[in-house]
Formats: sequence, C-alpha cells, structure tokens
Amino acid sequence: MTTFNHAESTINGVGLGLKRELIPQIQAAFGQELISNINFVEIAPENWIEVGGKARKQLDWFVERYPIVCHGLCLSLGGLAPLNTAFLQQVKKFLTQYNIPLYTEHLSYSTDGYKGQQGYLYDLLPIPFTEEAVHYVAKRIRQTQDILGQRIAVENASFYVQAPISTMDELTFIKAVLTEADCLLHLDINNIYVNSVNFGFDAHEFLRGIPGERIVYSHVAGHYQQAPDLLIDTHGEDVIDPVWTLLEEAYQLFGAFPTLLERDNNIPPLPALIREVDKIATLQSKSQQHTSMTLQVHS
Amino acid sequence: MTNDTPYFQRYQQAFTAYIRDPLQQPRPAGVAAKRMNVYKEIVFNNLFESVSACFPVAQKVLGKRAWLALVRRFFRDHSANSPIFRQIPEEFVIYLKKIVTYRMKRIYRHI
Repeated sequence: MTTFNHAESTINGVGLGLKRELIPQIQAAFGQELISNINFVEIAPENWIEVGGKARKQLDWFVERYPIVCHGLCLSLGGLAPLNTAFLQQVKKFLTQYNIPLYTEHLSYSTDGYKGQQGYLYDLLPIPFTEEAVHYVAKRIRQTQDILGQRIAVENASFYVQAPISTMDELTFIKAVLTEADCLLHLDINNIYVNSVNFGFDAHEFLRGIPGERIVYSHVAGHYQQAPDLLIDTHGEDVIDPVWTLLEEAYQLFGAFPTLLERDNNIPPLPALIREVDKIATLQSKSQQHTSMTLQVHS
Repeated sequence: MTNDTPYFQRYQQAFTAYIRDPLQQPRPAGVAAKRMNVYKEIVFNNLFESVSACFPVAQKVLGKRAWLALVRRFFRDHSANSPIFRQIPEEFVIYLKKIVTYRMKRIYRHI
C-alpha cells in the first residue's frame, strides 16, 4: 500500500540533515560506496540565506550534486507577530535561486511580537490546541503558500508543556490544520515518540490516525531522556529502537516515503551516522519488498 | 496585548513573558514548574551559546557573571527582528548600542 504523496515528493529514499561539521567528510567521501544511500540533503534557510565566501561555495557544491529540501525553523506559523513576509520573500528567492522544490516548517511558534517587533526567541514553542489557533495557523500557512506560489509541508513538533487551555488533542489539531490550510505533512517520527512519552499517549495509535496521503517525507532522530516521563528532542543521540519500530510501521501503513536523519548535536564521525542512514534504506526496501509481495498475492 | 487578543494568544504571551523574564514574570497558570523549566533553560541557553560564541573578548573582559547577566538582560529587554541565525550577534550589538546611548544621555543630563 502506498498512500504518501508521491506527486509532491520530488525526493526519494534517504536524506541527511546538512551540518557544517559534516561537510568536509561528505565531500571527501563523495562517489564512494560509504555514502551511496544519501539521496537528498536538507538545509535550514535561516542558516544559508545570503551566505557568502566559503559557506556559499559549500552550498553550491551540494546544490550541484544532491536534491535539496528546505526545512525552516523561524517562520513562526503560530507566532504572535505578523507573518514575516519580507523573510518569506527571501525564502522564495532562495528556493528559486537554488532550484529547491520543497519548503517545510514546524507547527509551532518562535516569535512573540515583543515591543511591537517580531521578537524572535529562536526556538520552537508549543501552540495551544484550540479552534481559534487552528484557524489562525491555517490562515498563515495559506498566506505562506500564496506568497511562495507553492504548497508547503508542516511538521508535527515535539514539546514539553501541554497547554492547559487546549480543547483538543495534538492529532485532532494537526488534522484540522492540514485540512483547513490544504497543505502537506512533514511527518517527524521521533517527535511522535517524544510527545507520546511526555504526554502519555499511544504513539502507534497516533500514527494510525495520520492522514498518510499528505506525507511528503519524514524525519527520524535521537533524543535525550531527562526523566522516565520526559524526553528532550536534542537530535544529539542515536535513534532508539521504539522509533525504528514506529518508522517501520509507518512504511507499512503509508508506503516507504522519503526519510531524513536529523543529527544536530554530539555529531559522530560520518561512518557512524551512515549506519543509521543505511538502516533507513534497509527498512524502506524491506517495506517495498513486502508491498510487492502483497500485490502479487492480491493480483 | 489588548482585550481583543484571542485567548490562546494571551496564553502564548504569558508563556514567552515567563521565558524572557522568569524572575519577574509568573509561570503560566496550570503549567507544571518542572516542564516549564525545560523551556526556560533551553531557550536561554541556545541564545547564550549563539551570542557567547561571537564575543570571546567581551566575555573575557567582563568575566563570567557579568557576561551572563548582560546576555540575560538582552534576552529580557530586546525584541529581535531577524530570523537569520548569523544575525543574532548583530541583534546583540543593536541592544548594546541602545543601552549605551541611554546611559550616556543620563550621564550628560548631570553634566
């Protein structure tokens, strides 16, 4: 069964989040078997827009060799300040300049409109799950899509505080926003797991409720366990087994959608990271074999 | 924030006010301290690292405690307008200029 959004997934297979520390190692290993499973690369526009010098050269190197996707951090879809349309114009220019087909963002906020300005807090804060918030966020996603002239995907965020004013659960909120904004879903498998522990829900049940036809690609990452009931989404550890199990189940449910490994902190040498990249590739091909076997049985 | 501000936004505003200034602002109602501390620490620590990485000399001159206090005041009092990460140090410089101008004006008034 394949329900994920093939048409708008212009990427395939496995991706790796681009960190500056990794660049020389990837460049050195380019063309070698070691990194043959890296099919696409993800960058944060906030780190790369209008860079010059060495960084610009590095960006050009990757653009020439890999499909690139943009995964933003500061658009602040649920933010208190007006949507930063000047920044969106910069993003639009950047996407065009480097021929980047996909821009995704988080279902969170990072601005509070402090002192009548944007008030960037440079982090991902949790939006309360209310009807009003659904309409507000959906409207800003639509506004974003209008400015960019393309659909965006939004990612289910991880968080640590449940807003006592929320009137619905996270899954209901995500589904309502996706429908109202008619946007795509950037499914973060680790975030489902992190939130399921932090707020005591069943991650598998949550996954089964996801509208698979909106998925463009997914993330997996590791996290830090601060307490048995509190996980911090650090992207600084290896991916743990329950997250791999969730990814495997997601492939069974929705098809082997493109998946990217995020590693932002405590970054090991490339060969160690590649073991996780390869594991994603293995799960994808296992799921595809399973799918073709099922098709044969039914035909 | 006005009375017309939607309820969910008033909650968000209380949330960030506490993160910016946990010493003076109350924790949002109904939120556990242990969980709120995660945001209080993560958000400030990230900003502190970004700023500190760019001003090694200022840090050394001021010493650890004064530097920490200065970056805390920056986070509490300054509203950053750029989403581009490498412009965070520029936001810090904008803040420093503002407080220096303010202090100079106060000094001149007494001359």
